[in-house]
Parts: sequence; structure tokens; C-alpha cells
Amino acid sequence: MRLEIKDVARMLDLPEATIARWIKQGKIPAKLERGRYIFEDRQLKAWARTHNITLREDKLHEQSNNEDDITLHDAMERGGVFFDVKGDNPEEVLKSAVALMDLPPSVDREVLLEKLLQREELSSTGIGEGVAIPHPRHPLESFPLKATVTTCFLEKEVDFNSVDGRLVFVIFVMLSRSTKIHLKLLSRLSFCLRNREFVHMLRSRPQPEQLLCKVKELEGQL
Amino acid sequence: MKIFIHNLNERLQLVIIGAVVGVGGGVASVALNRALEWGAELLHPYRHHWFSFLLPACGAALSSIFLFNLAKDIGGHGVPEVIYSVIRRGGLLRFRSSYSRLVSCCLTIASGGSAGPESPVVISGASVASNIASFFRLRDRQRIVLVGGGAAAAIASIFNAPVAGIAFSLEAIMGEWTPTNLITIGVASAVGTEVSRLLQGNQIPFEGQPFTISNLDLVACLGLAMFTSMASVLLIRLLRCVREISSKTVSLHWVRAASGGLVVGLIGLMLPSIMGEGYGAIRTVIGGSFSEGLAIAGLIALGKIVATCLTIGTGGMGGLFAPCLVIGSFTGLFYQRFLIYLLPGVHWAGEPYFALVGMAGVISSVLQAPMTGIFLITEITGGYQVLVSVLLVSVISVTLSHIFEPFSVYHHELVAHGELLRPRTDRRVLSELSITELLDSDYQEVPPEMPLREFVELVKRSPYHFFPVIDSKTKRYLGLIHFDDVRAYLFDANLYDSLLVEELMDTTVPTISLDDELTEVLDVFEYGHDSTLPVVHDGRFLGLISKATILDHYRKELIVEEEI
Amino acid sequence: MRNELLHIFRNTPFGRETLMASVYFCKETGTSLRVYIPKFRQFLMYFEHEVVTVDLDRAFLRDPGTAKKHAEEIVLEGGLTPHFIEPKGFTASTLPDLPVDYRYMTCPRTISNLSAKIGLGYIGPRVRNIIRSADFPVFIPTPVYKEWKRIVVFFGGSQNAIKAVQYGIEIATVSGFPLILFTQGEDKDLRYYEDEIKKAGLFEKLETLGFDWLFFDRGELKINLYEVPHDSLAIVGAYGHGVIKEVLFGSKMEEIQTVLPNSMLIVGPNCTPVIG
Repeated sequence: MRLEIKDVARMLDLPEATIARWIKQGKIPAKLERGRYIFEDRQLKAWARTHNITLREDKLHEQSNNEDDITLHDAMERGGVFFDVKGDNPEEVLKSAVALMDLPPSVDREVLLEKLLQREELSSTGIGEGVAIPHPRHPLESFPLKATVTTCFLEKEVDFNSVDGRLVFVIFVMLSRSTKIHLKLLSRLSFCLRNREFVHMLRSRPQPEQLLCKVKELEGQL
Repeated sequence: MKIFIHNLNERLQLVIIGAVVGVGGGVASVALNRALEWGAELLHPYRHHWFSFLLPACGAALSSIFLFNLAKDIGGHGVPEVIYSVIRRGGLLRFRSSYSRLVSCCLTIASGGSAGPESPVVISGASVASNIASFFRLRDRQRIVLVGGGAAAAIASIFNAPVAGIAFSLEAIMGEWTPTNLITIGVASAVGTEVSRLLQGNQIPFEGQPFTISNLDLVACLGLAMFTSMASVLLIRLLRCVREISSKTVSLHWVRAASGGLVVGLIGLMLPSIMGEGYGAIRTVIGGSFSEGLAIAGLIALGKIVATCLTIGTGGMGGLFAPCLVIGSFTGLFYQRFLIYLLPGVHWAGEPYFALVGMAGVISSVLQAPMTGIFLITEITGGYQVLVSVLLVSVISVTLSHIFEPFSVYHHELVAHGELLRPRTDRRVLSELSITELLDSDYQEVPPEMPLREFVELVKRSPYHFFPVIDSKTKRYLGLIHFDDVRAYLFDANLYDSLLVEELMDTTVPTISLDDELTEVLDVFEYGHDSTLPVVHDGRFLGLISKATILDHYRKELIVEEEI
Repeated sequence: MRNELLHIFRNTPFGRETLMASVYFCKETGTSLRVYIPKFRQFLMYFEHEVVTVDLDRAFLRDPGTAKKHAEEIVLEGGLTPHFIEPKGFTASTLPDLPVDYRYMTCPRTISNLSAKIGLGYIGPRVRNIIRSADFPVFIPTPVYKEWKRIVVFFGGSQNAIKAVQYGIEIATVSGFPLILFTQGEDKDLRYYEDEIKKAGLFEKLETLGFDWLFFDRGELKINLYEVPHDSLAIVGAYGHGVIKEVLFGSKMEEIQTVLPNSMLIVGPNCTPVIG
């Protein structure tokens, strides 16, 4: 694999100017090809090994600032909206939800369910107004997708032991890679739920497009 | 061919080009040597005339005119230039340095000036190496090693002493002994020696007879070390003195050189051994055929010191090696006569022994390079008998002269400018980093007229800790807001509409300019209590600089400088 | 690379004209001006693969007592803040070296010779060295101060010419002056040159900016050069497609500098334009 200055700069967490200077000084091996400096993968790794310097390959593939681009609307779109989700109690509801969710093959549904239940046991995710926000106790670091929020309207109202004591009619299952993203989405969701119109709309079991549209509108106000 | 070279493994690349460099250095030294011999022959018939004392003056003047007016080069040994370039400029040297000083030196020495051919050949060899490296578009690190090779080849080929060449290059020029350097420099040195042998024959400059050394002689060496260190300090100080005074009193460079040469010529009338390189005089001493007494020996030693300072200090072109050898041998000789005078009954080793050891002492001290001195003497005499004595005197002499003159004659100027930055030292690493590379972007700019209410919203949404205040029209930097400073007000909603950003900002935060030296920047951090400062250049805000980032970069720079 | 222009000040009436030209250039291109008042006959510039020794003509060291004052006056009159640089590195005590991370540098047609020698057709060897090694273009102003109001970029299709176009776009954008491309089509038609510009991804930028194209498919270059407006800045790439690229300038370049008295910005082979 061939890398350019900007890639190596990211992997070493240094500005491109420093890498360019190192090339000129001969401190890092690179070849000049058609006006650009190219690093050969194997050579670079060997160099890093001998100098005991860490190459952050994860930073290479990470798009910068992708965390800032995440919106609630996109997360909900990715997670999907489901209706008449069955279950008489939180455990059953979560089980049905997990079964319905569109997950990549690498995610073990049983493990996910367990994590959701663990969190639920710790403290109820019913935040009031008939809404619950189940999520795994610790963020799924290996979650391959961008964060998702799966909306499940329940077949019948279930007691989640919510803060305000009311029964829950809709759950938003929140899956993300990091606490930061989770908090961001949570904050936006809370913002939406403070809006009377939005809660009213939820109770009416709206079509997915309507729901997402409303979310987008509300997010735009932020 | 360029492409072929580029595709080779780096080590192999350096070895091959190192060999080429060796040839270059060797050729340069042989050329100069031949020129000097030819010059000596040319001028020989004139030496017996009455005006012969004017010869050094003429030669010095011509050398100066050639150097300054024709070649448009500058004077000086050249070795400090090479060192500066190696430390600061990746080993880049001007092409004209590869020939200008050779010609100039020839004029100076052939006419009788008291100097040696070494420094000019060193800079020639180094310059050739540097330009070859640039031709092949090599990187700084490789160019530096090749320049070291050029210097090594120069010394090696002049004295037919490959190890001394390597030692000189590593001790004086590169400043460090690392395995990678050693290979290339070793190759260059060896090839240089071979070229010289091929073209001039495999002669050892000063072949002597075997000696018998007793323990008493070794003890005597201690005293000799004192004398050699005194002679070295005298040489260094007088040289500096002559330089300063002559450049202040006489402004026209060739007149200056000529006047120096004139005095040399006059001294030479009485003490002919002080003129020129002086190898002839050394051979007399080593050969054991020097018959004069204590006073003459001392006089010659002093005379040589004065003559050398007058020649080189007034702008004559040449190096210090050869004069040091002469001074050293006569100091040794003087010491031996002195010992005989003091303790006539004892049987001391002969003159050649003391002369050799004296040479080692002076050269090591003047260059502050004991390894070079030790290897040089050992190699140019072809014998290891004197090794212990040479070691003893070199090391002690260096230590003693270090007290008075801590830096070698080459390094002194660099140290005065703060330019002697040895690899992997703190100052060196800092000098590699630039403020531009250290800029942080943990900030968002805000206009001064923004009310607190808006600012709070901004803070809520952004991940930054610093908010530089920039005037919207002139784009000038006005002050800095650090999140911590405004914590108190952020939750006081009463103030939201009555406070403007420009009332919150700190205008007393010291600012850093792109032109500042990192050492200064670190001082500012040291004496203040901020760990992040704004970088403002020409009134424009460019970014932040933080201690944490400096540490991170510093460490990575140090790691990368390590030679494996 | 700093957004600065390096100017070596000659404390003579001729030097005054040159400095005024630099001030104007800086104002129009939005760069900061940095003036060096030489104290020694030479200075060095350490580029990536070469050290260029600049031997200064004696005139540069004339009357040092008034040099700074004169320079300040000229710069202030132009509405800029005077900044003077002092060399920090010294290769030897009389041989300072200047930094080389500038965006532009002003050189008269010759640095080492008397101003008397400055005429059309002559660009001194030191200046040529700088152009060849530097990663910034060299600004050669007219001998007498003249404000340029247009930008003419000579485009011959080569890599260097593409760089020239990039500089042209940048300067036209900041200054707001109209941009004109000038091409002496050798055996190729306009389409070929348009394609070259498109390949370099510059065509849209040019269209957005708005530009004219003076394309000549016949006639000698010398004669066609008359069409270059008198009040324009000529941006030329120093090397074309020649084989002897490292030693001589391209033949077109030589012709242009022999005929045109305009202010010129010469783009060398190592230049790195910021956009594009």
C-alpha cells in the first residue's frame, strides 16, 4: 500500500510540515514519484519498528470530524422505525426489538440483548412522557456502523419503571461506538422530546417519513 | 545513472558514493601537494637573493586577491563553515569552495607562509562531497555523512593516515561516532588514502628509527604535556589576537595579508625553519640530526607560533595541522634539551621520541581532538611503540588546555554565535522544531462585539477551549478567552445581555511571534502560568502553541534523530 | 511558507524605485513586506539542494546610516508597515544566511552588477540561480516604478506554465485585476492548450474569475508580444520543454525577457503555488 504525506501525518499525529521536513532531512524514508512523496507501507513499518515509534493506523482510516457530522435524523434513518413491537415487560420488548433490528452479521444479537438488559437493570431508561431509551451499558466499541437509533412503537404500553411512573409506548434503542456520540444523540433526542408537538406526534404513531421529517426540522433549530 | 543510484539500498548507495567522494578528496590533496612542490621548485632559486624575505608578503597578497576578488570567496579555515553547514544546513556547501581555497593556499604556502594544506583540502573535499550528494538529490542526512567522508578523505590522503582521517571527521566535524556514519566515512577515508598512495607512493611522512623507552621517559611525558598545552593555548590566543587587531587596523585585505607575510619573511631570515609547511624541519628532528641547543629549539618553537598566527591571522590561506606538528616537535625538542640541562646524568630517550610525543600533544590540544592526535601520530610514524606515551601526553595536554580554551580553534567561533549544536542535545532538538509546525487548532475565533448570550451558545456547541478575539474588519488579534476564565459568568444568566466578549477577553496574555526562538518561547512558559499561548504574527492570529504539543513533538523529533 | 515577500534594499535612487514596486506588489497580492538592508557584501541562501551565494554589488551597502530611514519612508508612504529582517545564521562572520521560506522575492535584473547594466535581455547569473533553486517565484520589477493593472500569464502548456497559471489565478483573485492568458501556439490549436488547462483542473477557476485568452497561431513571438498591454504584470515559467532545463532558461522565456519591459514574475521549476 502506498501512503502520502497527509496519511503519514495522521498516523503519527504530526503536522504535514513536520513530515515534509523529515523527508528532506532523511529522517523518514520516502520516494519521490511524479512530484509527490510516496511512502511504501512495508518500509515505513520497518522504520517505525526500529525507531520504536507508534503508527496509529486507526487514525488513517478515521475520517476527521465524522463524529461532528452525526445527526439524530441520520441515526434514526439508519436504525429504522418499527410498529407493533410485542412484549409485556421490558425484557420481552427488548428481545423483540433486537430481533427486528437490522444489524450487521458481526454483531451478536444475544450479547447485544444482554447488554441492553444489564443497563435496564442498573436504572430504568424510561425518561418520562411514555418514552424509553434503552442502550448498552457500555458503548459498543466494535460497532461497525455509524450510530443508529431504532424507533419501536410498542403494541401495548409497558411498565418500564419510568421516572414519571407513566407507561412506555415507544422506545428508541440507541447504539453507538462512543460515549461522546451517545451523549450527542441523547441530547438531541431530549431536545426533540421537550417539544409538545413532537410528543403529540409520537403518540399518533406517525409514518416513518413524517417522523424523520419532524426530527430534521427540530434538529435544524439547534 | 541517477535513477540507478536511487534504486539501490541506502547503505549501498552511501558506500558507492562515499568511494567517489574519497577519490575527490584524494585528488584534491594530491593536486595541492603537487602544486606546492612545483611552487617550491619554482621559487627555490630566488630564496638566496636579498629580496627573498619579501616572498611571503607577495604570496599572501596574491592569495588574498585571488580569494576575495577573483573567486569571490571568504577567508578563514573553512572548517567552521563545514561544521555549521553540517549542524544547521544539512551539509550544503558552495561549489566554489571546492577549488578557490586550494589555489589560494598554494600561493600562501609556496611563497613561504607558515601554514599547512590541510584545512583547504578539508573544505574542498567536503564541498565536492556535498555537491555530489546534491547532484544525486540525496537527503540531508546522507549528504551530511558524505561531507564527513570528504573531510576524512582529505586528511587521510594528505598524511597517508586513514584512521586519523576518520577520527578527525568524527571528532571535529560530525561530533558523534555512530555505526552508520562510520561505514561511509571509513570507505571514503580508505579510498582517499589509496588514491594518494597510487599517485604519490606509499610513503610514511616521517619514518623514524626504533626507540628504547624507559619508565622515566613516561614520567617525563607529564611535564611535556604541560609544555604542549601551554604552546597550544599560546597559539590559539595569539591567533585570535592577530585576527582581531589586524582586521581592525588594516581594512584592505591584501595589504593586511602582505604585512603579515612581511613580518614572517623577516623572521624567516633568522629562522628559516619556520617558513612554509615545515615538514623539512620535522624530518630533521625525527631523523635525529638536529644539533642545536635549548635556546634555538625554544626559539624555533616560538617563532613558528608567531609566524603561523601572522600568516593565518592576517588572511593567509592555510590550515593548522602542519604548523601544529612543527610546533609540537620543537616543543618536544625544547623539553628534551631542558631535561638534559636539568638532570644531565639521566639517559633520556632521543630527540625523535620527544618530538613525536610533542606533536601529539599540540595537535590534540589545538583541535581539542585527542583521538585524531593519537591516531595521526601513530600512523604517520608507522610505529606503535610510542602509543602509550602519545596517549598520555595527548589526553593530559587536552585536559590542561581545556581549562583555558575549552573549545577547539574550529569551534570557537561557532560557540560564540551559539551555533555549536551537537546531535541529540536539547538545543539541537529545539532548533529543528519550528513554531509553524507546533501550531494547535483548539480554538474558535470570535468577534469582540459578540454578547455573552451568543458566546454561551457557541461554547455549548463547540469542543474548543480557547476563543481568540479577532476584529472583524481589520482581522487583527485583540485578546484571548480561555474557557476556564469565564466559567463563573457562564451560568449567570443575568449577565448574558450585558457583557460583551471584548469585556471578557484577556489582553495581557503574552503573544508569540513566528520569528521567536523556541528557547525564548519555553522561557515565556516557564516564567508565566499559562500552558497555552497565542501565536500572533503581523497582528494576525495564527494559532495556539501549548507546552503539551511541544513535548510531544520534541520527543518524536528526538526519537527520529536517533541513529540505529 | 510565510506569506511574505523578501526585498533586498539598495540605498540608491534606483533602489527606491525597486522598493516602491515591491510595496505595490505586496499591497496588491496581500503579502507582507520584509526588507533586508545588507551589511555584508555577500549572503547565502540555503535551498533544498543548493546553496546560492549572492554577491551584492557595492551599491547595496552604500550609506548605511540613512538606509533604514529611507526604506521606512518609502514603505510607510505606500501604506504598509515596515519590517526589517536581521539574519540569524552565519556561515562565517562575514557571511550571513537568509531564510528562504518566503512566498515571493524581489530581484532587479542583476544583483551583482552596477545598475547601469540593467537592460532588456540581461538577467544576471545570481538571479538565475535563485530562480532555478527557489520554491518561490522571483519578482523582477521595471527599472522605474510603474503600477500594473492587469496580469498576463504566458502559457505554453508545460508543467511550469501550469504553475504560472496558478500564480496568475491567485494574484488575480486577491488583487481583482483582470487576467489574460497569452499563448503562442506553435503547431497546436487553442483546443490543445485548453485541454492542458482542464487536465490541471484549473479551467473552472479561470472561468469563475473571468479571463481573456490572447492566442496567436501565426506570426513571430517577438512581434506578437506587442499585444501584451503596457500596464500588465507578466507571469512566465522559467523553463519550457527544453532538454537543457537545468542550465538555461527556456528559449521562449529568454525571448520574452529580451523584448518586454514590463514587471515580471518568473516562476522557477521548484515553485510550489498554494492553490491547485
